[in-house]
Amino acid sequence: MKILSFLAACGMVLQAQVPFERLVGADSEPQNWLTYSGNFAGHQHSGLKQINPATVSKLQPKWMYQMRTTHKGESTPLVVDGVMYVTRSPNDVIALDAATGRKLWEFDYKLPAKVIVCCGQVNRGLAILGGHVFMSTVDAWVLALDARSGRLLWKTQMANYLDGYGSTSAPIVARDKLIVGMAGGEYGARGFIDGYDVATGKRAWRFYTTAGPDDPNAASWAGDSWKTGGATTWTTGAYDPELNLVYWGTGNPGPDYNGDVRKGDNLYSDSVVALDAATGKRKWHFQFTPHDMHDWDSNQTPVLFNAEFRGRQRKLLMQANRNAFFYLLDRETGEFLLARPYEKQTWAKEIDEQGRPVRLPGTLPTEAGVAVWPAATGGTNWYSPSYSPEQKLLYVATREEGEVFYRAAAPYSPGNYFLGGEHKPVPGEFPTGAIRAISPLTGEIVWTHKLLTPPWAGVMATAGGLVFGGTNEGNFFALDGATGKDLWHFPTGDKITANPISYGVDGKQYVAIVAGDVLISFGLEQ
Amino acid sequence: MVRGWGLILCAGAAMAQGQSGGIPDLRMGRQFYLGHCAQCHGPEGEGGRGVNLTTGQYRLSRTDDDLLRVIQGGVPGTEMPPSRLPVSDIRRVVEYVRSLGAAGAQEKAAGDAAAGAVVYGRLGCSGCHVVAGKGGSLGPSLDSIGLRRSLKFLRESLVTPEAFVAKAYVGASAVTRTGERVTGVRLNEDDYSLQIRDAREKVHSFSKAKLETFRRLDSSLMPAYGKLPAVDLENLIAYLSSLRAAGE
Repeated sequence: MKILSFLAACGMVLQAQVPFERLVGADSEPQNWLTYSGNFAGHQHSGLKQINPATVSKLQPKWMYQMRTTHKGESTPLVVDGVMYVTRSPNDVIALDAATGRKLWEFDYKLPAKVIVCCGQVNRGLAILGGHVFMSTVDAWVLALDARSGRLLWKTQMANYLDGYGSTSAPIVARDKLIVGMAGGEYGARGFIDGYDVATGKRAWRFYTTAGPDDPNAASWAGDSWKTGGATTWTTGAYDPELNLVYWGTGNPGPDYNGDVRKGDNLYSDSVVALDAATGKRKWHFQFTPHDMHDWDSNQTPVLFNAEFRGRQRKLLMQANRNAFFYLLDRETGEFLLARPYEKQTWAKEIDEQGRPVRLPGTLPTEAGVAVWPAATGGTNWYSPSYSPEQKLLYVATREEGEVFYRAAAPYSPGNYFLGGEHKPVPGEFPTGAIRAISPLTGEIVWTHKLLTPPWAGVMATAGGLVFGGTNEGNFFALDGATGKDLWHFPTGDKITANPISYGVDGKQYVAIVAGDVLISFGLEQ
Repeated sequence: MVRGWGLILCAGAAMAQGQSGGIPDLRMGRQFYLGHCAQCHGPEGEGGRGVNLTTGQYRLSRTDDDLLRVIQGGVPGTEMPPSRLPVSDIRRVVEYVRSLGAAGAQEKAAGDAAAGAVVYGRLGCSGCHVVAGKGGSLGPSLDSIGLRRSLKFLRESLVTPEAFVAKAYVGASAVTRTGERVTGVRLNEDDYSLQIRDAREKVHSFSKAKLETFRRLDSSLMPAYGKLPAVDLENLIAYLSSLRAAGE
């Protein structure tokens, strides 16, 4: 009692434990942001209402934290009881006082001199459970840190980074397992999803996302092409604690643009897989783009929700896929329910009743080049969509951009690009972007807010009725969630390539975003 | 100048060696070039959106390894993107680009460069373009234009300037709610504002919400000189082709 009084007198923050039950009930404590997506369902949504269409004009920066890194800022912070945990690319972890931005501790991670990553040495976020903060690294390790001090608790190697393996995404916790994805799809890595014991770091299971000889779908790969087939798992998935199923998106098959050496559907590339979190066993899979040759990874975080569909209450999963179609699936069975384009696309006549695309002729890469929409970067990309249970809308930052796709030879050597071609801008095109509100049960676009250029930032809806997002030109903005009307913006001064979050301290709501290498937290003018 | 010719002759010698020992590589290099590079640099390397490759002199690349690095990494801040072709294929492209350099050695303008300089002055080109530190900044600097652009490209730029407008010189036009129209180079733009440099080099910053209309211009801000007397046009092309300052 005396100690508690002393702590209170000093204004110290008691760093709370985060049992699994708190993660399951994350929506009931909106002042915190306990998982990468704010909850297990991938909603990227805040239940806070203080900042709303009536008050947002008074939103202003409250503090900034200068990361001082030359690497891209793509991190989504966690907030637990007044403490913010954020990664600084490539793999440092920083704990901050969420009300002031003052640093509490820092963990610096030294990478080897040469790491192999396609798209920047970045990290996108953390997971927390009990007193542990978890991170995976660009050189393919998984780490657990003490949430009070940043002290390293355990460290486990996922794979050999020299062969092109790495990890850039935030893990998620599923009971006593830490679920971690990996990257390396441009280097002939073989994709997998791992489950680690949260207490010890010992690997409990591994699910390979290219079907090898012991998998019932092995025939979907010609010869040994599954060994270098990609299908990497480089963005955080979603989790249903009731079903104890993890839903994870998988990346493109390798080589990216030349399918000659990997004839077949190439399962489980460009898919979502539902795995038993305890064992890693596959319950079902759904493949969006069989035998992909346009680099349309399906790693976008799946979004889980429940609703009545065609007269029956269902557990559903939706994804605005990189191939420019929105999909709705039954998440208990993987049954395909509907698909509809949400962005410009010129490659598929339709998605048939089984959920398989009917490709248009003349859209596969050639030596001379073929212009196709969407670009290799897709109708959307890794950054998060957001689901508003209040508006019953999915918000997606979308990209209207085509590219010319080329095919070339695809020699494999470990640690080197394994692409089989490339892609270039369509001459004369000025690509644009948008925030689109999609009706989940029909795939219809309810409203569109156009952006000057194709965005690289995620969105976050709030119970206050706002949707926050960011632009390449550095504007952090808020739209009316019901209409898309532009209500507020702030020029941060650098390209925004991260997801926004919201949290509360002492009854005050904050909205935070990483812009360039600066973490900015906004609050209402007092 | 002498040093420049020396480089071109060396490039020619390299091509001769390549032809005697590696015709398949050169042909493959041409195939890759046509697929990946010709869109900007022209089918024969004459330039377009990309620089003229037929001069054999490349500002960023003295050696084959330099060229390989530029193709692999692109040129930051320009429209030249990085290539992800395998290194073995990029080497074939390098060999082919070197072979284009030899062709450029023979290109010579028909007109009189000195007379062209007079035409340049008379037309007021320096109002928008810099040569040797003198001139305006509405259009690109022309100090090394003869190195970077072929005669064909220079002619096209004078006769039909809208055929290619570099990204940094795209025009924009804005009309305010009071009816004021401002046209010039689009210096910057985001979802909320637009910055334009007008013909008098005055910089305007507009809030888009307060504009009646605004648009990006498809046409070039440069006048077309197709009706210039033929002799003046040839002389002007010769003058521009003679502008070959190094180290820009």
